[in-house]
Amino acid sequence: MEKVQVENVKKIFFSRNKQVIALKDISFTVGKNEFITIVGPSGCGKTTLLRIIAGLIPPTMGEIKILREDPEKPLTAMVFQEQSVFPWLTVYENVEYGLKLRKLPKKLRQEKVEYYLKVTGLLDFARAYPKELSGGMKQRVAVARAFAVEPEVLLLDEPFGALDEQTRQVLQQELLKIWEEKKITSLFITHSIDEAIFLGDKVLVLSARPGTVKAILEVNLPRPRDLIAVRKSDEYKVLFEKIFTLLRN
Amino acid sequence: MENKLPKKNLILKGISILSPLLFLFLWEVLARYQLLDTRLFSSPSAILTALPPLIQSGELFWHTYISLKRVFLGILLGGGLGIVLGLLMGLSAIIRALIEPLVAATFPIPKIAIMPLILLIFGLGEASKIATIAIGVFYLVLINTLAGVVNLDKVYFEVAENFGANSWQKFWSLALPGALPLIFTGIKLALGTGLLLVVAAEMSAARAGLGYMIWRAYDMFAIEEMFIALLMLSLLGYVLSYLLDFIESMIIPWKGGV
Ligand SMILES: Nc1ncnc2c1ncn2[C@@H]1O[C@H](COP(=O)(O)OP(=O)(O)O)[C@@H](O)[C@H]1O
Ligand SMILES: [Mg+2]
Repeated sequence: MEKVQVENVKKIFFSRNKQVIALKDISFTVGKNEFITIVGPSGCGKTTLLRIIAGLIPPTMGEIKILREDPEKPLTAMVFQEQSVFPWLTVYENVEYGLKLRKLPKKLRQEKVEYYLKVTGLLDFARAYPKELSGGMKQRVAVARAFAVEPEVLLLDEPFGALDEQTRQVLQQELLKIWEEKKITSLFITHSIDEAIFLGDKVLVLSARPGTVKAILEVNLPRPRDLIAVRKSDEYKVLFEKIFTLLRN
Repeated sequence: MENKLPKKNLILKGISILSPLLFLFLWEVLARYQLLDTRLFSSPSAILTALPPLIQSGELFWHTYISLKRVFLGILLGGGLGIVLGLLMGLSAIIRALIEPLVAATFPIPKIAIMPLILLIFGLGEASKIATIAIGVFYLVLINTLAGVVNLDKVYFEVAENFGANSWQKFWSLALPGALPLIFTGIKLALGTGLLLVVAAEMSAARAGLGYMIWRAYDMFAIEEMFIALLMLSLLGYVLSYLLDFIESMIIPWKGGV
């Protein structure tokens, strides 16, 4: 079985005698240890799709199946589109949050938190509160917090969407480095074609609302990847054009 | 511009210090020249002379202590209940639907209006005074706590949900810390109301407290004593709110971050 199976998922929001069809019949699968990126115009239901997969809201129709391999692990961990780092916890406590809820022994928690603080470059900020951090640093905390629980599936909703280009590129490369350690199956949403190609094994292209799957494209670029090398490659150029055209119509 | 600013601040500070001194000076002068009725308004020097005996006998501190204890216990009880209920209402729509109408209906009743009822229920002793303060303070803390939870960004709840937090964990890890800044706002308001209510409660059937001291001074026409009690109340309000600010900065080092 594939790691994630999304089967005929449809979502209608009912609000005051009006209904919004956010997603219309979405089906796709994500393989084990695969990093899939999802691009689509804003408002096409990307966040909705991720929230359904995370189990935060139910689909109107259809089904989500996630292959559970380790009963000790949480099914999903999500990095939210908006700022979601708890202001009342230090950086350390934020990263520890999910582990503490799962009642892991203190020693193990400390090990994991310190590891993920290290790989995200946050060790020096462990005792700082989020209000002292830049936007990029805050997103690092959110990413570290999700990685720390080592879920079956990682869900990332435009985690770098609000950052400037420079910071975004740095974080993309950091993310790939961390991801390649454990290769946790990941769904990453973005509205940047460039980001989708650079990060993904596959790119799923969604149509405008109501969201449907327009195409799923393989990214045949070896890992570990380097941003400059990727951008120079023919594969990148061909894919960019394809996705660009798909999003246009 | 930049090196002018501190100078301006210094002048403003000077004015702030001088104005009360000027006020006291005017008061004294007007009293000395009989332009003020000293039987009603006394004078700073007369008040100052009346102070040492009250301090030496321990009377002033005894009354202060009694009032302080009542305010503290009242806030502890009413505020504590307000915090717990406010958090529960913020977390659970059912509990909120259950309690909110009762709160909305009873909140507008001036708390002083129910003092006779409280005296009937709790008797003439300590309990009725603490209950008066507790009830008055309860609403302020409850309403602020509830607002603190309700105004929390819903993404924080989704994070907790996503990590599998149960209701208990959401209460402790989310609602309580998230609402803390507004809980403190509620407690600060409670302090002012607490001082108001303690004086009101000590008007009837009390044998100690600053409110009692004021009314005894009225009965004996000891105007200096009355002013000393009033000054003590002012000092109390000032020191306590300063203390609360300090405690707040200790408990909420992340303030301004939500
Ligand atoms: N809770 C909701 N109630 C009503 N409509 C919603 C709700 N959440 C999202 N929508 C609507 O569903 C559509 C898709 O939203 P969303 O998934 O956030 O899009 P995206 O993340 O792709 O920008 C939008 O038109 C949005 O207004
Ligand atoms: Mg979105």
